[in-house]
Amino acid sequence: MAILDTAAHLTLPKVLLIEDNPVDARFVSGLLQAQSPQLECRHVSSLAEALPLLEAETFDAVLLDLNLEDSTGYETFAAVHRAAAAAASILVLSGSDDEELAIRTVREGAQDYLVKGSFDGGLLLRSLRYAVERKHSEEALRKSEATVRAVFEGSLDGIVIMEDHGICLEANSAAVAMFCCAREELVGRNILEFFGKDFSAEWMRLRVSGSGRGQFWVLCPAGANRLLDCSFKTNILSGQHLAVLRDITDQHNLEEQLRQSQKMEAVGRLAGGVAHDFNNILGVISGHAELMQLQAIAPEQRSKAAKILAATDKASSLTRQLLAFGRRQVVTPELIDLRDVLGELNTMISSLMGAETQVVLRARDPLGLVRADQSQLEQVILNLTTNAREAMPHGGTMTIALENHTTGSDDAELPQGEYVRLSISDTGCGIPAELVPQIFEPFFTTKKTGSGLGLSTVYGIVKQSGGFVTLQSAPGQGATFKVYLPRVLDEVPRPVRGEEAAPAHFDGSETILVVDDEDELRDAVAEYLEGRGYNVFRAKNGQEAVLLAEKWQRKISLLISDVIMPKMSGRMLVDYMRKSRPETAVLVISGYADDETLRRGLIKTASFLQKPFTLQMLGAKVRELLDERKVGR
Amino acid sequence: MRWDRPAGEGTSSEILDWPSLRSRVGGDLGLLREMVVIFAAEYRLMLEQLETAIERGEASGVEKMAHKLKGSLVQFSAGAATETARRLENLGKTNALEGAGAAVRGLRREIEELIGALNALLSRRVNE
Repeated sequence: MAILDTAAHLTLPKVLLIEDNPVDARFVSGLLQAQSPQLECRHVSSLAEALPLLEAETFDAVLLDLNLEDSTGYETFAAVHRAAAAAASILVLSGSDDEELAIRTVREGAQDYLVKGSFDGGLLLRSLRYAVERKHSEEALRKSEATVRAVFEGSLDGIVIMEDHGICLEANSAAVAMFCCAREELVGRNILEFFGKDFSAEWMRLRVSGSGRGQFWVLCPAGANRLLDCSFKTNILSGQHLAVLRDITDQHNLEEQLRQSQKMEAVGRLAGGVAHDFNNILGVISGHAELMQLQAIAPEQRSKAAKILAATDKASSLTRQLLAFGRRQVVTPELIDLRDVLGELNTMISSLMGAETQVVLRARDPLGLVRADQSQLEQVILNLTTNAREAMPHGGTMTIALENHTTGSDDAELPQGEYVRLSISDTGCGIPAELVPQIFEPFFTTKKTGSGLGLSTVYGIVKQSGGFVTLQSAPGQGATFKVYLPRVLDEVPRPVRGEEAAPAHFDGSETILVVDDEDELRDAVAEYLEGRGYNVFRAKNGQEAVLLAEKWQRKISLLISDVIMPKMSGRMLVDYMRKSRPETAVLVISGYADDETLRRGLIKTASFLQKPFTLQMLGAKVRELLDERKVGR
Repeated sequence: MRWDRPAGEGTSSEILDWPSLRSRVGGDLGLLREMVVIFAAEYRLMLEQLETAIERGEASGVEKMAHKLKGSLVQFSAGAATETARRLENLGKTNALEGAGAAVRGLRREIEELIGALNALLSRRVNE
């Protein structure tokens, strides 16, 4: 890039002649006048006269005799160069014995020299014009270089110039930062050493192709590797190759996080969906097993039914975890002080950890409140403490810490906000860096006996509570899980929920409408309730239920309805019943309730029972709702 | 005024290389005359300063003044006088002033011959 100032090319030069020999001075000025009458030539005979004049006026060129009355040799040149070099070209007038000195002045900044006694008017003028042109070219080059240098140094992208073998010839500040070393360590070193193995082959290919672009990891100390987007152009000068580098590590990490988050979301949806269908099937199995147990006469039959029920209980525990990961559990958020939750779990945690592990609890005041489901938070703490115990088979220390935390620059990956942070640290074997991204995935486990659902459940619950969970770990250095839950500062906590007393008996004679598209489950529920003495109507969807309700003129005390059904959904059916029979109590049963259902308020205005449930649980809930209605009236 | 015919006939080339001088001033007789007038006014003083420096044994003064004279003589293409001035300059540079007095006397003579030759040439050209 050349930045040329062309204006000076159009005018005849203004010349200052510094010469103390009057004959020489007249000779030179006379030649110039004869060659170019419009040329302006000023003459001074000493350095003392020349310097102030050079400061006061601008000259295109200086014709300089080095040996003056008040200065001789190189010093004369140096003084004039300092005063005039920014604007004027310098043409040295030398004696034949001084040629070596004249050559030195050209090396140091003079544009040319002439030997006295060997030039005529034509040569003098040509030399003068050439000196002026050369000065302009040098000045344009200097400006261009200054501009290029400023762009080079100021660029936010890294710029590196390399020779054929990859040795760094030049690097700007941004590149130095990307390679995590000092400039002196980078320049002169082979760039290939900084990159991973894949780069060497790519470098060879680039040398042939001439240009290219690719993403490569730079290996930095302390594991702070950087991913660079690199653009290459070879032979910008012979044997010199350009690399422009952009650090895309943060962008890459964010994309990875997004991909991971999307993957977890997809797996969560899948898990939730499977759990829903599976819960319906489990409901049928457990319902009929319970009926079998109730109706069986032989002890052997009751025993077999009990085994089926125990198996369905285990299966439903698994589906609950899947639902938690898929964030499909119906939650009862309330204001919670995490110290209370830990207090209740303290004994259990201590017995879980065993005698060889020391448990340290720390809570820093003041501690804010969070809005979450207590049973879910208990699940989070138990899963994380179980994980810590399994990481320390030979004992160690597990530290559980609670504190308020405001996100800042230290944890830029988290959204800005006020949180309560629950940290659970162990001194166990730690987790290799390559496994960390997978650690929250369902069914991912490093243990022979693990289900792979513990940490994924934690992830799902924390996400459902509007929080975040992070992991810091390195092999041999333990692991720390940090759970960030949004802090609620301006509300007063309610007492921690207590166990509700179960009704003494579940029998009754009221009329109940049971609606579920799963025939076997509907029949099991109906049969059980009929066995308890209730008058039961069965419908396989909302539409059928409405027809039944319209035909039956007498009171329907309770509607038990599934949520997701063909033809008419549970939500629409509940709306219909609220309007046409406001006296009817409503119990919603479902394998899961998705966010949409929650948002529309169905669960808030009706009682809810999560599938799979035991018929005993159903009986208790039914009796409770019917008794509430009676008291209400 | 410019010369457009060959000149310098009858002048020793040791005193003056007339074709070379003529070429370098581009045939500008007026310029040459001005140069001769200036030199004629200056050279006696310069020679006196040179002799004074020799008498006082000031080698640097000898070198400086001889260099200055040499510069003028070169412009007149005065081969013999230029060579004598160069020799004097070297004597000063090497601080070996023996024989410098005789050299100055020789130089004075050569310069007077040079000026005489120049004046003769110039007046002849004017008359032509």
